[in-house]
Amino acid sequence: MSDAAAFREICLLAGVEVPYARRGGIPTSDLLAQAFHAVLARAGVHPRDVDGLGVASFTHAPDRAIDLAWKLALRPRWIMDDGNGGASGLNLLQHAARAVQCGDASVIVLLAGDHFGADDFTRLVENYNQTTRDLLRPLGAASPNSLFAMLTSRHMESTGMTREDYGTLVVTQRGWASQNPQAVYRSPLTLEQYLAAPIVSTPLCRFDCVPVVDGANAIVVTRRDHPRARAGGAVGIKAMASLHNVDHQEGNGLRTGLASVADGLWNAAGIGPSDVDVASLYDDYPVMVLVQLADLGFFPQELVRRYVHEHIATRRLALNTSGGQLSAGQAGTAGSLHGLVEAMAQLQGHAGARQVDEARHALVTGYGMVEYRHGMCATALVLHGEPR
Amino acid sequence: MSFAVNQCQRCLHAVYPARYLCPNCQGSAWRSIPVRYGRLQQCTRVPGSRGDDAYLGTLQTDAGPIVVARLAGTRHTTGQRYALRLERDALVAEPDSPDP
Repeated sequence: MSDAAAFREICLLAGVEVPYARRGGIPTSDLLAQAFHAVLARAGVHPRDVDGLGVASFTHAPDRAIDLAWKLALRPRWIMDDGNGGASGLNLLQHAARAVQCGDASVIVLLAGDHFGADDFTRLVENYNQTTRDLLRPLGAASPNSLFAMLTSRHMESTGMTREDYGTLVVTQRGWASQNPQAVYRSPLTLEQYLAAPIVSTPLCRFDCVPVVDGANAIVVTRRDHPRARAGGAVGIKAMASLHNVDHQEGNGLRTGLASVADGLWNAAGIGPSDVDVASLYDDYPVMVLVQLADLGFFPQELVRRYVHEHIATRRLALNTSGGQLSAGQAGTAGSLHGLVEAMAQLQGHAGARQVDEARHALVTGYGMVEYRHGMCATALVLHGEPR
Repeated sequence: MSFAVNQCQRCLHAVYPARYLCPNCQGSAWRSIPVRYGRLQQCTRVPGSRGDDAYLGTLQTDAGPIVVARLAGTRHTTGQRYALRLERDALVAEPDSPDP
């Protein structure tokens, strides 16, 4: 568990998203560079003041963070690559915050992004790790969709959830997306359309699976006493916690590492689930949004159906207000910063039509890296904004 | 080809896929034990473009590990016992007592 007091010195100046696009033609390195320039412009920071760079990407190879630093004419004192998928952005932040706190760097830019060429995504999915390549790929059709289809079936068996209930979450997120001009899928979706959609892997339909897009996200991490932070509007870190590989892939996947760190996270943050104004839960699949919310104490698992209809569908919890990856699109590892950038937009008051009134506290999670049956990485972050 | 999983020589905990250290006792010595059967926990159907649907299942093996396998045939019932075999590197599960 991170010491919350230590984070008081750290802040996030700005967050941006290079607009996601289906079959975009911009190479990964260019997307990351665009995100770099955009986030510095928003932060009001000159490139020469950047002395730390972190990069998360599946498709940046053969380049690494240092190659991008060279292209961007940086001379970083701190540098890091992270390839841990849906958790990579918050992983980088966990390291970057400590680096800034300890003086190893003063202004760190974290970038996450991917461009998928014609065969890139298939190659990635089939060779995600050694286990996937050697044991799952030979089965044929054993994509993450099938693994999370069976995980969803387990969730249905243990909670009584139905396709209509998951569909309610998906339709609600699409409603938020319709208020986000940067979401790739914005047209309204009805529950009837959801239920009639083509099946990908029973019980999951097309709308339960994130659409693959290209894009990049970026944030700037610095100290509270940085002149741009003193000017106001920076976002603070209240608490952060991670726990990976909690069950060695021997559990049922319906409990992530977040369940083990939830009490410490909220204690360190000094708030609880009911104080959260905006929540960005990593949404590779609808079921994982609900599993993580239960892990973090938003409701007892057995009351999940009630929570979906009484809190999510009604927007009593402002959940995945960008539309989430399910509607905004999943741009590979960019998804690991997507929710954080959205939370920052809400806390800094530039979320446009989807702005949540008086958003002060936000929760962001990262989840991912399927080994054999479900994701291994789990990380959570509690943020606070300044009164506006 | 028969299917096997690794069993920790120290605590007898069985794992699949194989790994270096035992998640139960951190032991590092393993023996291979054959696994013939598993019980179907969940099944998913992946529609094929030409009606050639694929079926995948999660099975609780007799030895302990829960495995993911391709299911032979088109009729599958959770709770049913399946015979496990390796077929060109793929773990295949076939209903042990198929319906007539």
